[in-house]
Amino acid sequence: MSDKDHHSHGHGDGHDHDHDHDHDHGTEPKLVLTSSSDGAPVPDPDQSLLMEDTGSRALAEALKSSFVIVRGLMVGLMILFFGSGIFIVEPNQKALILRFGKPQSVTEDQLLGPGFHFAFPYPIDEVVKIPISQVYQVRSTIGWFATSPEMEAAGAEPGGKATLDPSIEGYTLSGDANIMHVRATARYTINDPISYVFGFTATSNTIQHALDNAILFASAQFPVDGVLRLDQAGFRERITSRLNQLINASKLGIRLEPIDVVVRPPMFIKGDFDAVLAAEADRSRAMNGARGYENSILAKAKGEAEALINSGEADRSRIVQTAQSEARYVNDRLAEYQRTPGLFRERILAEAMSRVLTNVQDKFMLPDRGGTARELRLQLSREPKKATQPQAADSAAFLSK
Amino acid sequence: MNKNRLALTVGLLLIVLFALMLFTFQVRQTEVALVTTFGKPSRTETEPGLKWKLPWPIQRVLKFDNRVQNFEGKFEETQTRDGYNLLISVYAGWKIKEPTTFRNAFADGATARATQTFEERLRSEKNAVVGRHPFSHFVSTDPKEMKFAEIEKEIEEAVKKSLLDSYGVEISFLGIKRLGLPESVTQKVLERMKEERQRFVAKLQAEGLSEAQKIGSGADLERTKLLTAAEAKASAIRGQAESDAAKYLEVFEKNPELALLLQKLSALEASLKDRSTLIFDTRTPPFDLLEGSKVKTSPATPK
Repeated sequence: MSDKDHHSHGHGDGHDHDHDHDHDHGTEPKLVLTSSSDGAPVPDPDQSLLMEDTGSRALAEALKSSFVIVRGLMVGLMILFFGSGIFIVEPNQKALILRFGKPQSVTEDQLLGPGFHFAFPYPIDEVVKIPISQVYQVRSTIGWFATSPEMEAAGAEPGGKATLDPSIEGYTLSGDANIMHVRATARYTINDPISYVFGFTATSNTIQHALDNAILFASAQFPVDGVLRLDQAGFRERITSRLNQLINASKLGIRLEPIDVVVRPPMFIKGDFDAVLAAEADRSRAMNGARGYENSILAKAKGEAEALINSGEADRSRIVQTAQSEARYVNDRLAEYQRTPGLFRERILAEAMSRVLTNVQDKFMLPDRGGTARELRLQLSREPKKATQPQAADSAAFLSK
Repeated sequence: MNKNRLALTVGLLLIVLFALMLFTFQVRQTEVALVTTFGKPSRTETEPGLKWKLPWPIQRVLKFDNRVQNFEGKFEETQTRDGYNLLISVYAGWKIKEPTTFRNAFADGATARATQTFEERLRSEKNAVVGRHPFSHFVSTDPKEMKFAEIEKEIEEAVKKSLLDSYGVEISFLGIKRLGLPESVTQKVLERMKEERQRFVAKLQAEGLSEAQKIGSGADLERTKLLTAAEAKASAIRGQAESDAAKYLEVFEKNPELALLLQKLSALEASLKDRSTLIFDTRTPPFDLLEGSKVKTSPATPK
């Protein structure tokens, strides 16, 4: 570039100089020019000498001034050349210089951190910037039913078909040879930039293959009920461990974040899977009901048992106290009785009879007829319970002496 | 003179640069280079950096990507040892290990042609390996039966050597990408799954009923046990009370006649508490007073 510039400037200045010369010497140079073009030598030594002298001087001047410009340009270009080697690494980036194609950093801590750095321009150096803290995401491509982004956005799911066309529908096979839909989303950050950037033509595709393989691998070991209901965490764990294993084996240079896994039964028989869930809910409801019954009946039974025991205790104190008081009663009267048994007996009987007769409602007294038998008919209807009920008549026959 | 030297330096520099361009080449971290002399491969450069060569008509440099490239096979049907039709596709990572062999195999190093060749090579090996395994080696809940990783390994081993020998390509990893069943089989599987679900529902319902009944009857049994135990305890308490009471009643034995009399009287009183009808004759005291003065007792007739 600089060479070319130099030449073109030289020519330009030369022309300018000729022009100036024209003005200085009026029409004479025209004459010289015409004569020389004719080819006829009309040399005017003085004139030509003068011309040569002024011409070379002008040329020298022109060259001189042009060299100044060229030098300035060259210095400018040098500054530009080296200045272009300065580059900035952003805070979330690391950078690496390839000098003649060879990486200048080998380990992770030799990478260039955020800030200003210098590299020689192409073709000596090449700067590769790596977004180190960015979280990348890949989603499995197999295992999910055919759906469109619009449907996904709307949260709609296609109705099930009785058969699954392998060219459209994705699914995985479970360990018990059932069909199910699985979708996993893996997020990762770059762990080993050199191997991530230079090791693979399309690292994210490689990761996607590994993710697909991992969900296939995990699905093939779990029964469909394990994946869909009983052991989702175990299934996810298996996918993660398999994926990590693949990542380490092929040295992808990434660090995996927790994986999201979504599973679905085939759409066609989704209703049946829901029915199982409902049946399960019913079962636990029935069992909960039974447990509630158990709890309430047992609580009641405990109360009843307590009451039984308490009544036993009450009886105990009553029996003991009764016995005690009776004993005391008998004991108290013993001395009196022993003194005059007959009198005591009559007296106490009379006392009792007086109490009894006060309480008795009806009293019938039959005078003694001196041993002749006679019949006594008695109608008892002393309980006027209800007016509508016919009065029950208890008949009793007494044969009195 | 000074100006001349500058021009000379610049000129020399340009010449050196030009010569460097002619006599050197770069191998980037992601590449391997093959140097041919008069069209014949003479050496390979696998390490990155600046390398020497002779200028163009003599030596030429061919560069190849040495990064791991992805390959994905077609999703195709094949048969397992026990006669199941299985759809299977594999993926692989490969890279150019021997540029000379690779270039000889695919004249201008076209990756597209290479992929096509792998596809063919892989298909036969894959089918052969799948044909050696029963279906249960692909999917099984039994870890001993499950040979997923082994099958991948087998396919990889089968193609690895031949690809390296004939194409100069190294397989970095190989795995199964997809497994599937023919469309007609999926229908049967779905039907079977449906039946299984229905059986499951029936089982759960029966289980719920029987479990609930078990819990209920267990509770009833427990209740009976509790109550019986409580009754037994209460009876024991009462028995104890009776025997305690007996101690006090020893006093009755001192004079049984009196005790009997007092008992009878209290029984008489208790039975005629209220609303009773009493029929008696005049010999009953104290009405015997009406008869005369003879003292004679007769039993009261309570009704």
